[in-house]
Amino acid sequence: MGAKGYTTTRSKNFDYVVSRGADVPIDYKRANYVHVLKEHEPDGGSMTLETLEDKIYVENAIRVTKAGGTVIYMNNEPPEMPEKNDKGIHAEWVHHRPDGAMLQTIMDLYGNGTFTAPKMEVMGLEDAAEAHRKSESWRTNGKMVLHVQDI
Amino acid sequence: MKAVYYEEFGSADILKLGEQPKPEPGPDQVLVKVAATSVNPIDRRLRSGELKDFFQYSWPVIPGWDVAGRSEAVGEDVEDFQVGDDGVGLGFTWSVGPGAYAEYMAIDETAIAKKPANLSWHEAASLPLVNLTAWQSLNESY
Repeated sequence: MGAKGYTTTRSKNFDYVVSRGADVPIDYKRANYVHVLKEHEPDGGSMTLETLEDKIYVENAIRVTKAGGTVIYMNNEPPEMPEKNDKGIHAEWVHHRPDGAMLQTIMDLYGNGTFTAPKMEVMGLEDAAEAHRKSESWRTNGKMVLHVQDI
Repeated sequence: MKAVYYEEFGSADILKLGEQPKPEPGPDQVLVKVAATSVNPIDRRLRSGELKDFFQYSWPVIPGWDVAGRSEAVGEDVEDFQVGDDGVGLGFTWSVGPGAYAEYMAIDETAIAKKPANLSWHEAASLPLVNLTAWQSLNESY
């Protein structure tokens, strides 16, 4: 796409996220990612995707986005801060919509090797409660998949 | 059929593994024999009740938005999916259940795609919700 992508992760995952397309990984335990982004992109980035749910992360996302840019977040509460209006930032809670045709377009990109599947942690359906606890801990190692039955 | 479900809001402890009725596909639906599903943050946010004002629940709730599996039956108005086709789909928008933490799931034909042969069931189940979220964020949100 010609975009330059920054992402936060622990240092041990740098190679993995770079292999997934990130240009600049930032270890959020060792550095304040807001400061790092301000250093690299003084005017802010064009688009920020924030998947953490606490309000502070959405506010930070607005701080690191340039005037007229877009912030996508997963928190259901809309962020209210003067900086958002002053900079004309479009901030939106994106909730996916099922779309089989669009999904087919994406699947075809996996089919021809343009995209590759992520790292996964596979558990059994009977381990669903344990999987939810892991999801709550934010300490997952790849996408959590539940095996339901052999086909 | 075997399924994971919950009957009230609460912690992960409320998830039960037991028998639930096998769904019947509606006229526009595909009945999928589920090979795999995946865990998304929305699963626990719905289970805890945090998002209850935004979603319609079908009780008891069988969670699971992402599904990968084989078509076992199709409704009378389904055109592009046949029995035996391998599919991958995202089940819901503002409602939840009965979902894919189960041996069978009925899903709208408009919500399912054909699974590429080079993807495993597990890989396929990991993709729909996160990929559609990212795709729609990048292409539609500005």
